[in-house]
Amino acid sequence: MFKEQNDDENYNEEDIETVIGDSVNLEGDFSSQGSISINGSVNGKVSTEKNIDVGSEAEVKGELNGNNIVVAGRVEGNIKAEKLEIKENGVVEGDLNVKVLSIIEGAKFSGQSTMSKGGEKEIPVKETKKEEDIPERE
Amino acid sequence: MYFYICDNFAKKSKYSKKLEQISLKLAKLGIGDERAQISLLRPIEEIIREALMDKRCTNIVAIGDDKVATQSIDMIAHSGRKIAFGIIPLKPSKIAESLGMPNDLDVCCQEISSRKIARVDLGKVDDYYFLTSVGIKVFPENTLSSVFKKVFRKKSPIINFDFLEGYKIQAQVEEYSIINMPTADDMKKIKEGNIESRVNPRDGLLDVLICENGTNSRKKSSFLQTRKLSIETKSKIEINIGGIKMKKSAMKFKVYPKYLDLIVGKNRLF
Repeated sequence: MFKEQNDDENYNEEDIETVIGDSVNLEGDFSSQGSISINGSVNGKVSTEKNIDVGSEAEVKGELNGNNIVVAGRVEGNIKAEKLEIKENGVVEGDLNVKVLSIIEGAKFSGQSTMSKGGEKEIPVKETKKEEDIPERE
Repeated sequence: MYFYICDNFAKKSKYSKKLEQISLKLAKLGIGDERAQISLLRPIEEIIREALMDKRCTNIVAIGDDKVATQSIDMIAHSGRKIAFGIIPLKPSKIAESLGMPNDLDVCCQEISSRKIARVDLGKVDDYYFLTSVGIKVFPENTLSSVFKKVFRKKSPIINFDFLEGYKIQAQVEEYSIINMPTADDMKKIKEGNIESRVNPRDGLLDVLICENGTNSRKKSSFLQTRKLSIETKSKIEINIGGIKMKKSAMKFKVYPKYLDLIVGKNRLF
């Protein structure tokens, strides 16, 4: 949505309808019909039929449900999406249910991943060992 | 029938030429109708009450600034009558700018005469209706609190927002706007955030814009939409409702969809 941001190259800026800035803490379940950009902290479930962008400074404790999800910050919770990309500094602790998964080198993921195709039975394809020590974010 | 409400300040001699120009133009356009002047003896409440009691009255036009416009809109909305509101600005007016009513008085009168109507939502904060936005400044300029902020590097108080949709947010910044219809100032902030396509006074939603200390970069600002919210803070903060300032520590906001007919010009901002 904002021009200077590089994290969300995959998104059409026009799609973003909700922005949670880095000075804001959100508590509770949040759903939107449009795309959501998170740069602050969220404690609760976030749902949309469109896209979710978790910025590099963002911290989410709760489930994420969306179409395309990009995580450059930290997420502690399960993620359900058509497509998930965990960026190089992104941290995800939780189980994934996605159709397309992309984990960039340097990213940290701890949990189970279930990859499914549209209309077909979900097939668990990978189980990762829980990382014992995920470094704290600065 | 058109009913014109002249602001109290219009009595000053420097506005007499402008008023004469407006009267002549309105008469020429055949919409001179009735006019009343606000004064100490005739407050705006009384004038609008009289106008609202007249069944012939279908348009109320404020001649003045944002304050008289905001007061008029509040009273029209409370009355529940289907009356169109318009403004002829005598001073710089954010509301006139939003409605596309130019400073050129002849052109402005022409726009009033054309009576192009746009039905828009109205916001309400506690018992007060507002058309444009409610600005919250934690450290209003030229006040003691702004001096304290500079000298003691005082932090902004924490403000709690409780949204009807079931979530809450907590923020600690200096500026907030609850927008129904954006003013030019709001549009500037909105454009910096590239969210102008989302701000619409006919979508049945209020837009909450939270800007950190004057900046509106992507990471620093927040933008959320809601139908209803409440705001609470420990200390009283100044809010500005279309030129009317007051201090509050708790307030409730609500949007009333498609609630007011406006007479708008070609260059309206929505």
